[in-house]
Amino acid sequence: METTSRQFRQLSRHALEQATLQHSLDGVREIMPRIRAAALAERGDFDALCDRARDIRERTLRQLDSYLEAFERRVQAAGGTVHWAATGEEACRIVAQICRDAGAERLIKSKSMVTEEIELNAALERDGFTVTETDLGEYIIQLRGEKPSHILAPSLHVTLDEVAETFHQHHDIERSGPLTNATEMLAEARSIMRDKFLQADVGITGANFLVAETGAAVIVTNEGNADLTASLPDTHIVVTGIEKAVPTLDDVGVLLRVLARSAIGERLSNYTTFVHGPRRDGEASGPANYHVVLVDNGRSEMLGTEFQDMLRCIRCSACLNHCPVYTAIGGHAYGSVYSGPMGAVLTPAFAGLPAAAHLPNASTFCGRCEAVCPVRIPLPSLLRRWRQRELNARPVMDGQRFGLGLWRWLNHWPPAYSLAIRCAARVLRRLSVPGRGGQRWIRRLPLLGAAWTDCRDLPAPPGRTFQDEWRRRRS
Amino acid sequence: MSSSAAARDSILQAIRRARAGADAVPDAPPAYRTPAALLGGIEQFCAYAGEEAATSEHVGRMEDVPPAVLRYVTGQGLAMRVVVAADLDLDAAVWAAAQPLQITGGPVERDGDTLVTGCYAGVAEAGALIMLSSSGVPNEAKFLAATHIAAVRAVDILPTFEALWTRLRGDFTDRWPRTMNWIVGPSRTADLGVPSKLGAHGPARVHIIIIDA
Repeated sequence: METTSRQFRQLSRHALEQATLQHSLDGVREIMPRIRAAALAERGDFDALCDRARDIRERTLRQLDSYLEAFERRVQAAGGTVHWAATGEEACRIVAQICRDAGAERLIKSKSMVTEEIELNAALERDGFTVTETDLGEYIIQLRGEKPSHILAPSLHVTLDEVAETFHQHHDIERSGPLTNATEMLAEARSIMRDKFLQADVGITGANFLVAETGAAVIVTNEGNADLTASLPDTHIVVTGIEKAVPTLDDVGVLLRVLARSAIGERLSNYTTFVHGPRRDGEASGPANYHVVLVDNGRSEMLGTEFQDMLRCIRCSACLNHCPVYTAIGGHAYGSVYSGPMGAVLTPAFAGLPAAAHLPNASTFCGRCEAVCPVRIPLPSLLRRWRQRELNARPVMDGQRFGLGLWRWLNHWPPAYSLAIRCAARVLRRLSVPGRGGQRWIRRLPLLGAAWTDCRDLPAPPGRTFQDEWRRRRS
Repeated sequence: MSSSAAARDSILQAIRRARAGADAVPDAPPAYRTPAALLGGIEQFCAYAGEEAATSEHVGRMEDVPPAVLRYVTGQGLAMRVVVAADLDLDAAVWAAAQPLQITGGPVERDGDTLVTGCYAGVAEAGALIMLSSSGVPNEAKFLAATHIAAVRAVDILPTFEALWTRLRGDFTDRWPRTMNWIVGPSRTADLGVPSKLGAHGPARVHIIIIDA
């Protein structure tokens, strides 16, 4: 997986300076937690559902081979073909071959993070195919040559004016008209997309779940684009990760309940589609050819390791929407198609730790990601494990290792620790000035501390340490 | 051995290696039971579909569907032509009651048509219409139409997903329908800002006619 995660510091600094991006991220920060909370409030059993969802995903991962084989048997019995791809390149080759065998030229796609991960579009375009994304957000960023900045809302960073500008650049301007508002832009996109749907030779979708019991690929969208992608062309290809298997329909029901509520604060997405295979005798329409490409690309290597819990992820994006780091810098700063806390765990696994070493460090460990995760992935613990590995892999002593070493030494010598924090508490108190709410604030810190106070004030400590206060109350 | 077959072996082996030595997997618990306080019926179905911008109305009998379609089409100012899917068990004579509405058997044109279908079931907990692919209805029609009117019998409105699974397992023991589409209100997108805009790719209007008898 290609990433630009090495440039995380520069990219995040750039993101902080982009006013339009900051405006979009304000929206995420203000709206998404509120609508999720409202959706949960109605469902008194949400915690129990999350426990159940975690158990389903955990149980599946521990028997993943048998559920994948059961799914495969079901698809084959229904007339479909299942392909296995150990790497992203293999998956791209398989999809290209299916398209060539179908004599295809024009391909349409619905949004799929796995196909972003394996860079399927670029591979297919290199092979001469024309690929059109049909999710509106994906279509916008495809025209702009950009990567998704959010796993559910890929064009989050693009303003309405920029959408209009993009459509004008790529569509027939005479026909499009001025495109002054969202309604006109939607009508424009709908009309352009109809042609693409009706002319396509192959439709490519992802899958949210693969049901071992029935052989269904379950695809969730709000736009309905996946349904048209899966219905109109003569060939339908599902490309998805091996970890998407679930045992039964009952399990899918539980996961769907937590997915839409966590993702968009709704009971269910507008369209949930269960696809069981190709067109049958007597049916008036539907694809004659049906293929499922199961992509490993590093997933099986995570099984049985300290990162296995990450494979429970159902890509709801709640961890992004609640992360103080993601909502400050957006997705592009992560340099990976997976961003936010889930991306900071997945990217080192898929792209290698050296390429993504900054990402696990981009967390305050506030714990909101774990608190809102519907499958209870211990994201801060997983991030911490990557940090440990990254720190241990550093060949030389640097500032961070020196600082952590000093901290460790202090913690092993209680008198020194006590003296150090007593001094620090007093110095910080002296540096502070009275501020809002009766609280004292530090406006400017010297040396390394300036990195904090350049952007925001630091609440001043009370001047006494916890140990002093403890002693005072006991005496 | 093809590359896919080799990949299959290597992936399954990697999964089995990872599992080696792990504790036995506990048996799956029984199906999830929604607490009684959350269980709803037709009222909940209509309310939840309504919150997702679908509209609904009740009629007494199947024969009352055509006049209801006429009322809706007239009320919305839509073209007086509807495509009626073959899964709706109504003969031409009954549709005569909906004149001057023009009735066709399809197909749904590029865009802008009104489609009238039946419905396998409804699920109250999500306000969802459950549609199955069949020989009588091209599946894409439900997504190409600009307006979708779906008639569902009140007895087919189930409280939960689990009730739906039970019914599906009873009706299709081994050969599952090729596709099953769950539809909650009109198609929408949030990619052009909040609030979501209706009619992204599929219908911009969804109207549900509940047949009480």
